Amino acid sequence: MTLNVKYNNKSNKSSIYVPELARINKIQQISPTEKLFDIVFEDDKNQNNFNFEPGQFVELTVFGLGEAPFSICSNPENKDFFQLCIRDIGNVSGALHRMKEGSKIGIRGPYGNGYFPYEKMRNHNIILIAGGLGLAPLMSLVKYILHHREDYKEVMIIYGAVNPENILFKDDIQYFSSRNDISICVTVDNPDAEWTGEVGVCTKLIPRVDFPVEDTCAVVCGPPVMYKFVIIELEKKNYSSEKVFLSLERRMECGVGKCNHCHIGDKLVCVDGPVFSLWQIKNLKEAI
Amino acid sequence: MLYKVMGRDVFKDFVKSLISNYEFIGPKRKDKAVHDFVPIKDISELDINYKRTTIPPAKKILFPPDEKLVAYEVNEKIKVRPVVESSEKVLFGINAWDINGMNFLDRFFVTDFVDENYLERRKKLIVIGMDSEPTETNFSPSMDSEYAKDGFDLYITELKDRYFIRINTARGDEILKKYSVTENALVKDFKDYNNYMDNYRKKFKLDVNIKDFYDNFELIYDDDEFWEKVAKNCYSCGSCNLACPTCFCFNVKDDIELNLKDGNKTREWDSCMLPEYGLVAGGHNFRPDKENRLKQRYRCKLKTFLDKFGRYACVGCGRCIEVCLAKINIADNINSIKKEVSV
Amino acid sequence: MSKPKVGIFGITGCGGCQLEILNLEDQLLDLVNAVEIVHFTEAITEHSDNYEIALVEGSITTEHDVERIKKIGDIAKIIVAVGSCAVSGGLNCLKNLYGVERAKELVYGDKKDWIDSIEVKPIDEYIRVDYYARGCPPNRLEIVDIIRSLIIGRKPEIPNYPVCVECKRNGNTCVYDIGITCLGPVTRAGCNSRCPSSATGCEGCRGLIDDPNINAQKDLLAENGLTVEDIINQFNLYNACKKVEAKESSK
Repeated sequence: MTLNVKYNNKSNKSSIYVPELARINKIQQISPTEKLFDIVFEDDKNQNNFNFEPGQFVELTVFGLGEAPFSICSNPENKDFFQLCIRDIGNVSGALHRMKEGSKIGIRGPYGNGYFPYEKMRNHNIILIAGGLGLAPLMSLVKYILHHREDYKEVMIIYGAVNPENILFKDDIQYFSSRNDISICVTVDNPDAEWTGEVGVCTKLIPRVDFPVEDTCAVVCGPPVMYKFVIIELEKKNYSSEKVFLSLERRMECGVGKCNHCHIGDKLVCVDGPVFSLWQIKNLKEAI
Repeated sequence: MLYKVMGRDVFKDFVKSLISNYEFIGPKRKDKAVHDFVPIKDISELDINYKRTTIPPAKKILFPPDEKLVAYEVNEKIKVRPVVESSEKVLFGINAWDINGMNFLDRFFVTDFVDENYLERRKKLIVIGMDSEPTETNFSPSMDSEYAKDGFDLYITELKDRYFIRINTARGDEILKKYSVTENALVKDFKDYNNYMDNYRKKFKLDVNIKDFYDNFELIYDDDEFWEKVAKNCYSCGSCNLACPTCFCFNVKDDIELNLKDGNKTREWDSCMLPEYGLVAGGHNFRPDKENRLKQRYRCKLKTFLDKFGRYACVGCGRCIEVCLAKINIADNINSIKKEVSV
Repeated sequence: MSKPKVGIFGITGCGGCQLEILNLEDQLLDLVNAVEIVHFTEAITEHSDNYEIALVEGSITTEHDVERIKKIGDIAKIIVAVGSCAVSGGLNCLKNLYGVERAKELVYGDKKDWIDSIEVKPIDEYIRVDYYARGCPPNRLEIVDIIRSLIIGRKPEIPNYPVCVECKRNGNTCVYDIGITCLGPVTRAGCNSRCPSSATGCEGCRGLIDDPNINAQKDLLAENGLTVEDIINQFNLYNACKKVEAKESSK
């Protein structure tokens, strides 16, 4: 038989499709369309074994209703619980938005061998570019970097939102602004009367960044339409395509490289990504 | 590999013993157009002289069209358990290209994360191969698939007055010993087997020039006119995928009974040719056009797994050509890509 | 959680869709436990105007139908059109091909003026429809799935792929291979390929998928010996109200 089975499964469960039980501990409405969920595994053993890298995602089951992938947005060093920032947009997310604190859900993961490569990014300046809900996966990287601040040089966040009320993680943003070792610039498409910040798409802020080419990494996450324009701006800066990292969204239905919905070229976003270097993406037609 | 020969007189008894001792799946005539691999209770139902089949036999057994993966009970407490069901079966009469298709699925389902639902069934599947008549759309020699060197327990080749048997597993050897009488294959047997194979290969009429596709595809990829022409009549119906022995895409669904207590996760075959395939929550579709989807299918079949596994995800069985009501012909298209670039 | 109140109504149709619900057998009891059925034209004598979900069978063919459907539209929070007549007008629409007056004359002769009959329309020409359980008859399991989805709060999954998908999953022989024409390649699945599974061509009772390749289908039917008129008749059987023959594939 050609079957040459090598078990790489992290858990020794008998099926890769079985979720572990978890509980929604806390729910915060952080914008008109987004809520932040604190999640803890029911079984302490699962909670203790749950180690994730920034940029990884989980598959979340609402029992009887469906399963969907969500990026983790909390600090990987926080072992007590993890957080998901979820927009009310589909069947599963809609059901989550109707749930109460204490509700039970199922979790599989963390998944994604391609996470934000924080090891490679050490001793570099870091630009983080986020559009809309794309800030969520980047938050876990920002929090990791702040946790190990001395390992990194300058850190700058460029964040674009549709309008002021849609700005996510306002408390965190305020906290970042109060620190002098990280700079953050928020821009909105549609300002209201009170808005005093930047107006327009986040790409127009990129030319202002003056980090040196040789020791700068850029990290990008946002809606599909954003990538092309951000890449053009970053390429003007001559950053190495191996030091620009982008988190891609696709339909990651199984999370374990089997259902194939997230297939781009020879890569599967769920297993090989969701974070790819710009060099990898340049070699994947239809990625952007 | 061990090589034996079996007399014509004992072959029928051997098959009969298998039918009475195992859950036996073999080819049976379905209607005037096709055969189907179904459970066989009596040797009279078995018809090994088949040409066209519906769903590829190994895929049908190992990766059924819909399948329960997880069951749960939602009460005060939620109980979740995996559903992995399998039973020992004999798959009899599967041909070489379908075995090679199964070998691809074997590799796919156990790479990275191991799919227990597939693996458990595969471990219990006794595969006994036999050659079948290629259809007019078959190009398996171009894909190195008209001959199987692995993946079966026994492969039986029908010579004029006897059967030449390749034994690939200890399990196959035991079955043969238990239910039949064989002799070691000798020089003459090998000679006849070689003659047979030479003649068998001549039955495949369609030749596909897959060489250089790997690079040429990237050039033709951006030629919108080419793809518009190829995909013009595509129904986006997924028949090509669903009939393919190596296609493995699936959807996972959660469902609950009307009592709102008993729920499950099931998977069902999906197809990359359906418009919803690339759709994500929020309404963005990463592959909205049939041209994009067709390109993606060709890439997946003919490039992606060359990179990953060093083999094509196509065994040249020609089913996708047969089932396509729009007459989209992967063999013609591969050849015309080569021609387009060579001119 | 209180059970949602459901009304099941028949406008102009054969009543077969309601029978499909009664044919649920085992699941009928679960259904009755999951929702409170307050009105069911074919099955219960009581009737009520207090319901949240309305399942409506039949098309609109008389002024009286118009009044009834508007009332249902005013009361129900969620409206599910059940069966081809309600969804697309169904077979009733064949009347429109003659024109209302000519059809009345053909059927009722000199008594035609006694008859209240108007141009046939599906119910969504008069009221908002939230979900469509297509088919003639509809797939009863799909009706259950729509109700279940409404209870648990998710969007019911109605396939937007052609019948070919279900034929292949079911391992059917393509009916074109045995000399039968079929609208399966452009018709919305969800019937579990009912007709082709019995070696009969699909007649398109569930209507077209969102982006059907009509030109390819015309080519295919013509190759199989059908005239332009035959082809239009095929498309019109269940879809005369929707005038599909004029609709071209966008791609």
